[in-house]
Amino acid sequence: MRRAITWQLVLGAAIVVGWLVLGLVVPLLTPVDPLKTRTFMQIGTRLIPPPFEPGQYGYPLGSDSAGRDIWVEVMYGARATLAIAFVVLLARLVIGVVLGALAGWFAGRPADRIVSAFIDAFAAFPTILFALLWIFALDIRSGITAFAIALAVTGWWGFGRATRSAVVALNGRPFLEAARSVGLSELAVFIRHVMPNLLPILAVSAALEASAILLALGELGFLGIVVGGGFSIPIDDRGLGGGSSFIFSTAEWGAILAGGRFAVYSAPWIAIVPAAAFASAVFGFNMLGHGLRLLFDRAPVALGRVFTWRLGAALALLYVVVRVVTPNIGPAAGYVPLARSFDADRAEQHAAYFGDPARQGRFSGSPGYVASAQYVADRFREMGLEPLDGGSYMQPFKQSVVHITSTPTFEIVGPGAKPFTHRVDFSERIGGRAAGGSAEGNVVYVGGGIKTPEYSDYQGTHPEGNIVMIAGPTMGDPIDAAIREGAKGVIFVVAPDAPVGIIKGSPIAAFEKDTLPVITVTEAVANQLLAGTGKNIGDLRATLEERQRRAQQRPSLQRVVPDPLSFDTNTRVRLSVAVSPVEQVDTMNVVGMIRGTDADRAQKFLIVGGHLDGVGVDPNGTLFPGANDNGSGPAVVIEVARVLAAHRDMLKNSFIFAAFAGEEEGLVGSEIFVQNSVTKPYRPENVIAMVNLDMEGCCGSLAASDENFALHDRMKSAADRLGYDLGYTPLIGSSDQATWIRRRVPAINVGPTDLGPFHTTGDTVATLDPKKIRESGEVVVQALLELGASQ
Amino acid sequence: MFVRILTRVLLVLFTFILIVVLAQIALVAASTRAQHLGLGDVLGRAWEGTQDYFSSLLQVSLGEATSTSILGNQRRSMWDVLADAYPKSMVLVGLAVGVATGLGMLVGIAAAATTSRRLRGALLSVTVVAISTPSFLLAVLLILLSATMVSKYGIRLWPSFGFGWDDHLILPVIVLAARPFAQIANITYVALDETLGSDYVRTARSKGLRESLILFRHALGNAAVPILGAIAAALSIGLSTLPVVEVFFSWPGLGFSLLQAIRRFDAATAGTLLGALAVTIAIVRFGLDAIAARFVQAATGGAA
Repeated sequence: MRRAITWQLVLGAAIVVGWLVLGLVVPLLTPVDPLKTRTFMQIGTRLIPPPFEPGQYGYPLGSDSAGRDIWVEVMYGARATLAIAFVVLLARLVIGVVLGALAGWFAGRPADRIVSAFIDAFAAFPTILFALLWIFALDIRSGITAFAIALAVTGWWGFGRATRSAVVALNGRPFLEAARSVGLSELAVFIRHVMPNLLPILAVSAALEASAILLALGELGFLGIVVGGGFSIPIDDRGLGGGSSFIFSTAEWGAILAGGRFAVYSAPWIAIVPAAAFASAVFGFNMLGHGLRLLFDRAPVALGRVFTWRLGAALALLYVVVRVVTPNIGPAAGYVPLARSFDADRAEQHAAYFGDPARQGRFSGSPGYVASAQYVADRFREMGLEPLDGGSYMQPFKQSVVHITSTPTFEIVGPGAKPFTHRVDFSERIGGRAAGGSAEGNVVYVGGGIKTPEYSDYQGTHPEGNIVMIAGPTMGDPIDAAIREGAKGVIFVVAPDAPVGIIKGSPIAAFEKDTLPVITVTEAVANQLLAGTGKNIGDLRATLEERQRRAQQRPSLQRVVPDPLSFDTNTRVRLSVAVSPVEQVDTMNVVGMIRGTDADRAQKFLIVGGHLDGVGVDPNGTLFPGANDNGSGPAVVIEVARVLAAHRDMLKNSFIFAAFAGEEEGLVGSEIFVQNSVTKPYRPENVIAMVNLDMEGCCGSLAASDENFALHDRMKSAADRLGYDLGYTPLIGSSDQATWIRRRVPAINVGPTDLGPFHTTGDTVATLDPKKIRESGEVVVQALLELGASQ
Repeated sequence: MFVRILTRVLLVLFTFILIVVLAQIALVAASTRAQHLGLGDVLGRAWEGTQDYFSSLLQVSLGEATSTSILGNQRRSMWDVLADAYPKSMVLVGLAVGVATGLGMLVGIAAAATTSRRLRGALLSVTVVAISTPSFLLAVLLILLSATMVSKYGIRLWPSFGFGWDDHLILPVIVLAARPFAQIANITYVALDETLGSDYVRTARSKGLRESLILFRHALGNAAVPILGAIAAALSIGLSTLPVVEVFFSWPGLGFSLLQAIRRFDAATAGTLLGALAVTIAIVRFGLDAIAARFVQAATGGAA
């Protein structure tokens, strides 16, 4: 009798267990953060950019091109990579065994035919490419889930085939007949006598399958498909040479490999170290599988004795208990009462102050705005927030603004002359290529106003000296195209169901060299302009949208480029927009801070903010109160700060609370805040997350933007804990969170699914709903505590 | 016989339809991610796309694919894309499987036939290491090797990347062939080792047949079924590693074009190319199964 415990088994188990243990205890071994990047190393007066070579500057296996320590990354990566591999393995095992056992037990019958056909079909699919397809389908940003599902779907058939043939081989055996003859049901025969005999085969295939999964993960990484997606950012803005550095959210072997694959000549260690880690783990699992096979061959262990149904039931029970209990006993559950202590009524009072007609719509820098800023600062002082720097809550700066100096006009001239009403029928647009001026000409309908080398919406029309009207899906910069075609003005038409209708937008005080007067009109107005042509703007738009949809969704049907729908009309219109020169106004952000209690973690910041400014008043005195957009945001910020300040002992990280100016004019205030912060502890590099609050009190249901999937996930789980449902907002990247997103800081906007009467005279205090404010506030408090207070 | 062929043809067809449908669903889901559509909408659109795809397929036209050339977004007929990329990939995989089979069987036979324990140990260790070496590690090491040879000794071994029907083939084929080679060698060895110890081989030996005759006529014939299985597996491994090799060595084949199509959410192209790959794998597998069945038939005297 040869020995059952072979060296293959011992070596394989040692390697696999070794990596697992290393992955688990790595936080005890090194204080280095695996995701900590380093932009350069200073040696004397020389600045040396990464990648650093192995053995240099205290990097045992070198650093990658972003300056992360590869050895630490690989140790942490063992945890993530092996965890994914095990999840995938388990999923494949469950699907494969269930279907394979079904097919094997009913061999030759329809159920077997169907399962076998699927096994054969999936066995013919190219693994990596098919997995990649599903990773994209399931959203790569959802992290491990997408990888686990995609790889499980791709590879379940291996277990299916092994189980099926094993069950078929067992099915005719005498001991099964014996079991049946003593009266056991088919199910009981299967569970008691077939399952235990499958275990050795499954154990061996599981070990071999694990090595196949690791190879697949490595190959995906090598193709640049890593957990969480990852992205490349150019690093030449430091002036230290070109190239880009690869940023990923999970330290995982595939991700390091993805960063190193294009640096094989210059820094081969970046790719070789993780590849070798993969190779060693694959080797380990192969040895383990081989050793297990020898073990079961030589010493038939009655695994059925070990894995009784009692053990299975006990394990299942343990799992259920752990799953049920964890959310209710963890620290996160302890935060729920704190989150519930959010005072929505008080927040509504703040919003009512901001939305009061006396504040005159809080145009950035106006007296109403300054009064509101003072109000926020007073609340911050009241609850004992720390001023940021310089001892004041105010962060003053100068902002460039322009105003419309008189009410813009728009009318049909000549036969059927008719004036239209500002803010009802039309609204002006100012900023970039759209500026002041007046223009008169015939309306020329140009579809989406698209002009590319292959296609022009202007084909067959006469835009020179006339006014172009754009309704339909557009592309590129349609105003620029209109200028190049010699148009004198542009009319955009909003769809009746567009999220943004005829509203007052703030003029943006930044202009191009060539500009035109631009207005936005309703579809009803547009149809009056088309009255003589017998055409309808809704139909035209629908045709163009359908064309665009087909081009995107069903490219196989698009054989020829379609003709544009554009045409000239005889309707003559005049439009005029009067804009003041650019002037500088004094305005300010309001910022307060709570310092974290944990010395290390206090260096990392969580920012909660919302813009305080509104769109102000029209030249004729019409008031846009902006109670919901965005009196409600800073109102919630104040009350969130109050809850956190009352429990500041619990806060490990530092918190910054902010009310920004100039958001309506293009995120000016938050941009100033970030630019001023680059020399401060709360510079973007040290910001864990930024939570923006824009429109918390009125319409639609609770939702958040998803520029950063992980943060949306955290926010959603916080909402779940409180019993709320958190969806997605329609407008992504359109508020102050974008300032941080742009700098690769996780940021999110908590806002509604419906914009309601925003930027209209109807955005009054009366529309505020304390229930909505409460939901937002509680979810934000819960999420912030989970991020910044737990261990 | 006829029924069996019909079943196989139906299975290939099923594989093709399944992968096209799944590709449509996956890419519709991926491309409409930002709109947060419900499952119903995604399935509806995928259904539309599938209908379009098969209706144009029935009119013997695969529509157009946005090409991946550096000249910009030219539109090419999908047949052109397929006709361009398919041979490039298939020659690569075919060569790799061929090399792996030849070398693998050679090493396996040598390990089984040799009386030197040391040689056997060495040959088997090579296969064990090769089977655990990921393609990407081998690719990186080979590239480094060629770079070092050029910089240190001035010897140009092979081109490190690019396409060509010449020595450009060397690196991709080595990387693709490595694991299949190890697997085939291992399985050949195990199968031969088993049969060489069996009764009928001992009988043949006792009749005084030459050892080589025993090996090739008797033992190898019986080992053919597992070896054919290993070749089928080798083909799967080769095709699955294909995108890695093609991307790393800039080989403009199917894997390369597919990655581009997937990244552009071009469901029709992705479906076609994936379908072509899957159908190839399925057909070759069935072919190998049929050959294996012949061997079984021969061994059991035609009873099967």
